[in-house]
Order: sequence, then C-alpha cells, then structure tokens
Amino acid sequence: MLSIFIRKQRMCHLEIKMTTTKFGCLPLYAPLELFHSFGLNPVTLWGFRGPAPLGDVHLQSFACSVARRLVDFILSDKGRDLNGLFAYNACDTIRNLPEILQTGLREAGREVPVFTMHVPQYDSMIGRGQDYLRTEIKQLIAGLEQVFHTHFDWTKFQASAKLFQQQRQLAKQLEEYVTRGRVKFSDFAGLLAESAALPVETKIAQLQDAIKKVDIYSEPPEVEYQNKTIISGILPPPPAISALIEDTGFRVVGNDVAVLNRSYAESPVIGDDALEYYVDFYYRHVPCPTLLFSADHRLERLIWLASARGAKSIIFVGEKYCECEFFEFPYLQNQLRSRGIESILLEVGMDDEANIAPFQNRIEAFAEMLGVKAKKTPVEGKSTKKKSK
Amino acid sequence: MPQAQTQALTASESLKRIMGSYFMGCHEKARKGKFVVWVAIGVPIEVLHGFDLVVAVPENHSAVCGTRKVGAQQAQKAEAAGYSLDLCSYARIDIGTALANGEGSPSMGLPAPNLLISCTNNCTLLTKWFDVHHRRLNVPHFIIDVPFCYGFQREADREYLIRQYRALIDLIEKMTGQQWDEAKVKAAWDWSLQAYAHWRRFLGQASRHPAGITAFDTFLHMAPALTYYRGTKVYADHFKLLADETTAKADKGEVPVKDEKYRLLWDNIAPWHSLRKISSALATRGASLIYATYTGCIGNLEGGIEATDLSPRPLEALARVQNFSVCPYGLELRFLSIKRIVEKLKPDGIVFSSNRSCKPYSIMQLDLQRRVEKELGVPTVMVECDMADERFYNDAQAFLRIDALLERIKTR
Repeated sequence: MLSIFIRKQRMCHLEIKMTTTKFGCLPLYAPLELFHSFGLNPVTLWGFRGPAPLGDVHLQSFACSVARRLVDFILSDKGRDLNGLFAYNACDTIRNLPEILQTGLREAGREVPVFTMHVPQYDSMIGRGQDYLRTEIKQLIAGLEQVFHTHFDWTKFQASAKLFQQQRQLAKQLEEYVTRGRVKFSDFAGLLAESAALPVETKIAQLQDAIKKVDIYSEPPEVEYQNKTIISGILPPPPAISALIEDTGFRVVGNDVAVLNRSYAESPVIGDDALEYYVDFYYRHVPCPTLLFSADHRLERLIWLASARGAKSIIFVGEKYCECEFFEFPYLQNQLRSRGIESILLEVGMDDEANIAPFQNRIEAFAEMLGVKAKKTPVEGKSTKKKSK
Repeated sequence: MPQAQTQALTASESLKRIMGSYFMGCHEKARKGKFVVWVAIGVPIEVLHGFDLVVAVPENHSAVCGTRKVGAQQAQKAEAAGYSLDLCSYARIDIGTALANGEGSPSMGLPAPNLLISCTNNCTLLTKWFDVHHRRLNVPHFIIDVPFCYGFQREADREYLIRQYRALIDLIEKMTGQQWDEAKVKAAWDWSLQAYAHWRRFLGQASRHPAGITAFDTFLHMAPALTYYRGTKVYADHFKLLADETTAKADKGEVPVKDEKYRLLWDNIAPWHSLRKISSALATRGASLIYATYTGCIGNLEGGIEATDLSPRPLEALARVQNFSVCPYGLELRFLSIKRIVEKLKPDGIVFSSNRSCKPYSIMQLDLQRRVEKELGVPTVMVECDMADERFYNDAQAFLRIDALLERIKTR
C-alpha cells in the first residue's frame, strides 16, 4: 500500500486564498452542474478543519462542526471571493443558515446573493414531489438568470453535466484502487473530502494525476476477511483517525460517506431536459439519511457494500449533533450484527482531532474483537514499484 | 370523537379532564381494535377527523413526562438502547417509553400505532424519530413535507401540501377501508377556528397591566391543541371557558403577578420540568412572563395573519396553517413575529431559551437576539435549557442570567 499524496498537499486547500470567484454550495447534494453551466465555479463548502470562531458567533455549540466551520469559512476572509451561495433543506441546521449567513455578510458589508431550493422529501414512487422539484429547479434557473444576467443554455448544461460525470467516474476508479489496497483510504479521503471545496476542473486534474501515480505501482497482497472494513458517515474520519484505523491493520475496502461515495457513486442520465436530470439526481441518489425518502434503503446498501467488498465490519463515523445520522445508528448496528457484520460507532466532533487517544483504544479493541491481523512493518528499502520494461 | 362534559368546571378542571380522557381514550379505543395513528403536532389533525381513528401525539406524551419529572428517566431507556444523549429529549423520552412498553410513563405510554404520520414542518428530526418506530414496528410512515418559510407561504407550496393531504387520505382509506368524510373535516375546522378565536382572546389578557395571564398558563392550557380533541367541540369549549374565566378574573383584579415590575417574553419551548420553579422564582422578583412565542403562534400565521381569515375550504386552510408554528420560519419571519408582539405588548425584556433539544427553534437565536436588541431596543438574555430533560437545565445558572437582565432593565 502506498501513500501517494503528501500530507502537506492534502492540507493546503485550507489556506487557499480563493483566487478565482467561486459559487458556494452548502452541503450536501447541490445541483452543481446547473451552476457550472451558468459559467459559475460551484464548490461544495465542506471538509474544512480547525476552529470556527466566526461560526461560533452565529451558532450554538450544539450545531455540528460542518455547519459551524462553513459559516466561519463564508464569513471570514477565506470566503471573500464567493459570488453567490446556495442552500437546500438538507437538515434542520442547514435550512436555517441562508438567513444567518446573509445577516453575517451584511454586517461585514458584503452583498452575496443567496439562492434556496426545497428538495421534496418523500418517496418518488408516489410521484408527489417530482412536479414540485421541477418547479423548484425552474425557479432556481430563473433566479440565476436574473442575478447573473445569463440565460440557461442546454448545450452548456450538457457539457457541465459531462464534466461532473467524469469527476464522479474518476472518483469511483480511484476508490477501486483503495478497495484493492493500492491506495490508502486516508489518502483517498484526504484528496476527495478535503478538496471538496475546489472547482470540478481542479478535482478532475487531481484525480487523473493520482490515478496515473497509482498505475505505476503493483498490487499489494490480499488481506484477511476480518481486516476488511467499510467506513460510513457524513464526513470521513479526521486524517489522524483514518490513519489510526489503517495502522491498526484494517483495510478500508469501501465507504458510505456522504462527501465521498454517496456523492459520486451514481450519475444521473443526461437526457434532453435539465429538470429530468435533477429528478433522476435526487430520486436515484445513493441512500442518505438526509434524503428522507431514501433512508429506508441505507441498510440494504450497507449490506450489499459489505458483501460486494468482502468486508466483515463497518466503522460508523458519527458527526456529533447530526441527528439524521444518530437516529439511525442503533437500528443499523443491530440489523448488521444480526447479519454477521460487526460495527463500531465513533462520535467525532469539533476538537476530536487533537484528542485521538480514546479513539485509539476503541479502534484497537474493535480490531482485537474481530481478530484483525496487525499490519506487517514494511522492510526498510524494499520497493513495491513495478519494474519498468 | 368523545365529547367530554366541560360545563360548570373551572378551566383547570376542564384541562385535567380533557387530558385524562385523551390518554385513557387512546388506550381504551385501541384495545377495542380501532385504527391507531401517531402524528407529529404539525400534522393537521382536523383532516383525520374525516375518519374514525385513534390519534395519538408522541410529542405531547413526552411533554407530559417532562412535566411529571420522569423525562430523564424515560430518556435513559432510549440512551441504554444506543440513542445518543444529543438527540431531542422528546424523541428519547418517546422511544425509551415505547421500548419499555409504557413502563414509567404517567399514561403508560401510547397504544401501538398502525400508521405513523410525521411532517417536516417543525423539524426534519421528527421524521427520523418516527422512522425508528416505522422500522421497529414495521408500520408505514407517511411524511408530510412542508417547505421551509423564508417568506410568506407560496401558492405552489400550498398546492403541494394539498396534494400530499389527498395522498394521505387515499392511504388511510386503503388501510382502514373507511371512506373519508369531508363534511366532518369542515366541521372540525370550524371548531378549531372557534377555539383559535377564544385562544387569541385568552392571550389578549397579557395586554393588561398587570397582565391577566402568564406564559406558564399558556404552556399548560395549550395541551388540548396537541391531542385528538383539536377540531372538536370539546376543544372550542375549553378555550371559551379559559378565555371567559381569565377575563372575569382579570376584571376583578385577580392576576398571577400582582406586583408586576418586569414584563418579559419567552422564546422557545416551555421547560416542562421546571415550570413551577421558574414561575415562582420570577414572581418573587416581580417579573411576569407575559407571552411565549411557542404558544403565541397558535391560531396565527407568520407572526400576524389570523387563522380565522383563511379560506373556508378546509384542505386549503389547513395547508395554509402548516405555517402556524415558529419552527418553520426563517430568521426574517421570526424577527417579524417578535417585532409585532413587542410593538403590541411592549415588554421590558426577552428571555431567549437556547434549547439543545430543538435545533430549528434555537439555531438562529444568536442572530435573532442581536437583531432584537439592535432594532427593537429591548434588553435580552440567553439561558441554556432543554424542554423535557431536566439534566440539561441548571436553575442557578439560568437565574444568574435572568437576574442580570432584570438589573439591566431596572437601571434603564
């Protein structure tokens, strides 16, 4: 297993000064292609780390770190070059953020247009929500046209959709390398999750570069069944905890993480209508507890994932105060156990990167319970690089 | 629906009788095999009066557990089953009680449901909470999806809600074999409108100096609105009795805080476990909590529109009143509704209760508080609270802050 990305590179975006104007989308699943087709530079605002002093001015400590950090990012100098914001009803906290952000921006003397949309939250089989969703997308398009003085163009939308499809495809390809042990999950998650706030073109370049680098290395030996695990949550574990999981001997062979697999596993069909594209996007989405109509399918998705990747366990990474996730954990854990899949829940909050000792104890105990075989220390100087022909 | 006798009773006796009859009635009718529906409080119960059902409200039950000081005890049963302490206390109490088959609950819990109906009006969390029962009991869960209000309700939102009501009616018809009776729903809506008019009359007693009511009276007497009595004659009669009785008492000078020095507002759900304690402590300081945003919104939309002015067509009107409570409001509407009440009641101060169990109510309070201070010039304070889990409320800390607010008001 090779570390293909250096830590410095992984962390660098945190200090990124937004040199080009960006259109900020609040998590989780925004219609990025649509914004891109308007010539905007859409980025999803998550994956930030560190303290959030400006977030704490506007949100109580019982709001999750995702919300507190993104508020901090937008209101601080780091978000100064945002030319627009978008939010939908992803959760109770996020639905309140548009006006909180507008207040903070106004106080800072910044005028940033904020677009909102309501994603209908029920079973598509009944079909009650699809018309409403189409109307919402139409209104969003009208709003974008009005603010940015550009007309929606289907050809441009198609091109944008293809770009995002390519990015999703590349992410899936790199994930395959993670499954086969050629890339560490911590590096993969570092690249994807922490670059979530970068433009799609940059992400594509990064992914292509990473895949090229991996291609020159040979595959490491297969690991035992009990060593294979799946990670599930809104965000991947913080880098230190991801590294801890792998150092304990686990190989992360799949993920059900909102910022990772749930965001790239499915690509909508690019037909001949942007409205239908988004009906497909939301209603055929990978199950996520925040998409209420899909939540019932999450268990079967996890079982399928564990079976397809040959994993014996699932590590749930609970974003502290994320009610959507925490209501589901007891049910998921019980159901998985009854099917022979063991799991552990790690609750991760704002300051947990600095306090990883308790996580170490729990992860080691979990590994011991599963009979995970500790990783062999690599022999000094022995390369696994393919011999060039 | 049973019609309890409320004549010749005091409002307090009437309330006790209605609540006793509601919980007993739920169990008795369920035992006789009636179809049981659990609903979130934002679900339009009047629509369900078109059927013959047992309608139980878990949030109400959790509040009762909080009032009887068994909230933490019931919540711990859910925590023992793996539900995080950070989750809403109403949910933990309800799930804990259900897992314990009603043991420890003042009402022995609620009868098991045949159908769950939640809505995203107050919070998305409710749908996740009801999903727990949906999976545990393998019963259908219908979600009424209410768009969040950054402004007044749009026509498209109203139509969207009506379509959902129709789908719900179809589902219940299929599940029960009953035919929905729209005339009964019309009658139910008429009773609710009458009740709202009396409720507004009751709330109006806060305009007196000293105030004829406190927010604590409103917290207790709102309870029938959260039962299947909503939309019945019992409901309207109770609020009529309450308004008449309160007005008569106030006319005679019988008011809750005679020596009223400070008139305060409360923003958030009632701290059910400490109502008496807080009310007494405030009264000894000459402070009267004259209004609460939590109860003030009943029968009133988006801070100003009276429900009585709505469409006579019940489904349309009920779709409109999905916006009645505070939680589905964005910051602008929340500010607007507080502004209107500040202009009307001219309070001396506002207590914002930051409630960790209710994110939709609490998450914007820091900005709301600053804006109220800045634009309305009303002194405010923020206290930490939880509506039903007393482990997250510290009386001394809360009153340290409230006393500071009173000092500030005094020195103005």
